[in-house]
Amino acid sequence: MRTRIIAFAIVITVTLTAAPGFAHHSDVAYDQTKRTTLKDAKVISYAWRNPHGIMVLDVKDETGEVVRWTLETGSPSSLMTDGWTKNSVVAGDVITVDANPARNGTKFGRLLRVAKADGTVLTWGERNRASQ
Amino acid sequence: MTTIAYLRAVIAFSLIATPALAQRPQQQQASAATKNAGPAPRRDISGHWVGPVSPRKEPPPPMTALGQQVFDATKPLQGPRAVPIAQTNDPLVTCNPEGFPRSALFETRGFAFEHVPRRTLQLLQYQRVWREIWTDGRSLPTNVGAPDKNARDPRYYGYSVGRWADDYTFVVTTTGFNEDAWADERGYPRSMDAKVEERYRRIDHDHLELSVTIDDPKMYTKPYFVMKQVYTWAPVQEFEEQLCIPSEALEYRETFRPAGTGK
Repeated sequence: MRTRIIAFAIVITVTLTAAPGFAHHSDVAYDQTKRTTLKDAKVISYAWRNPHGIMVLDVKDETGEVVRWTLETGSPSSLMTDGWTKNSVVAGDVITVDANPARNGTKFGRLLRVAKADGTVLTWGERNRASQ
Repeated sequence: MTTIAYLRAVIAFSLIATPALAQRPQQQQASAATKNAGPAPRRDISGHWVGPVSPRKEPPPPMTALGQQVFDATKPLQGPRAVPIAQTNDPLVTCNPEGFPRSALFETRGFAFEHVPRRTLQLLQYQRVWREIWTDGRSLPTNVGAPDKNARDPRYYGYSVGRWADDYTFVVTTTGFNEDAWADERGYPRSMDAKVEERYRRIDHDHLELSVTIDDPKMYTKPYFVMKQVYTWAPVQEFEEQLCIPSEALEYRETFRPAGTGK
C-alpha cells in the first residue's frame, strides 16, 4: 500500500512540476509518457533559433528504409543553460536521440537527449525532468 | 502512522517539493549563489532579476458572463486548455506584443529595474521591451479609449504609476489596456479598464517577491490574486537576447503543424 502511495505522490509531483516554468510553447502534441530512441540518426539540418530549434534527421527504420524525423528543441537561451552551444549539433553529425514522439504518429517529436559519437551527451530540460 | 495520515504527508511533500523542482537550472544556479544574501537596500529594486518562464498561478475567481465569453474564445498553448500549435489563436505565436500583465506572468526569465528621475523603468528581457512607471505623483488616466480628442489611447502595456508602500515594497498600478492582448498565457482576459497591481517586495539583497492582482469587474466577479513569485538577483547582471522573430515563429508553426493536427 505504501509503495502505491509513494508512487501516487511521485505522479502528483511530476504532474505539478511538468507544467510551470519549462517550455515556452505547448507540449500537448507530444506523448510525454513515451520515449522514442532514434539510433545513428544523420543530422540533415539544425536551426538554432527561437522560439524553438528545429532538428531534421534521417534514420533507418527496421526495414532499412530511411525515414525523416523532425524534432523541436529548446530555444538558444534554454539550451545554453543546459550546456549547449550553437555548434553542439551540426549538419552531418551522426547521433542517437531520445524524443517524446507526436501523439498522432507522425514523424515529429520533442527532443530530450542527444548522444554524440564522441560520447558527449546533451539534454534539453532533462535536469528538470530528472528531479521529478 | 495511519494510511490516511501517510497519504496526507506524501501529498504535502509533493506540493512543497513542486516549486523547487520546477525551477529552471539558471534559477537554481541563482538560488545557490544567493544563499547568504545581504540586507535589502532601502527603496531600491534596481538590477537584473531572473525567474521561471511561467510562474505558478492561483485559480481565478468566477468570471462575469463577458469574461467567460472572452475566455472561451481563446485557444492557448499553455495550461489545462492547451491546444497544439496549429490550433492556437495565442497572439504571441506570431510575435504580437505580449502586453501587460502577461509580461509579469509569462516569460519572466529576466527583467531589470532602473530608478531614474520621475520614473522607474522596467526592462523586460523577452522581446526587449520597456515599461515606464511614473513616480512623479501623477494620477492614472481616467479617460483611456474615450471618444473625446484628449482621451488617451489604449496600450498593450497600459499606463503605470508607482509608489513606495514602505522602504522595501514598491507598488505599481497599471490601467488603460489594449484588449488585443491576453492577461496571461492561459488565455484569461482583462479589459481596457482593468487595474493591475504589482507589489515588489525586496526580501533581501538577492530576492525580490512579486505579487500580482487584477481588479477587473468587467471580467471577474472579484479581484483576482494571480500569483506570488520570488525572483533572484541575476548572477550575471546582463540580459540574454530573447527575441520572438516573426519569420522564425511562422516557420516553427508551419514545420510542426502536422504534429498537432490529429490523424
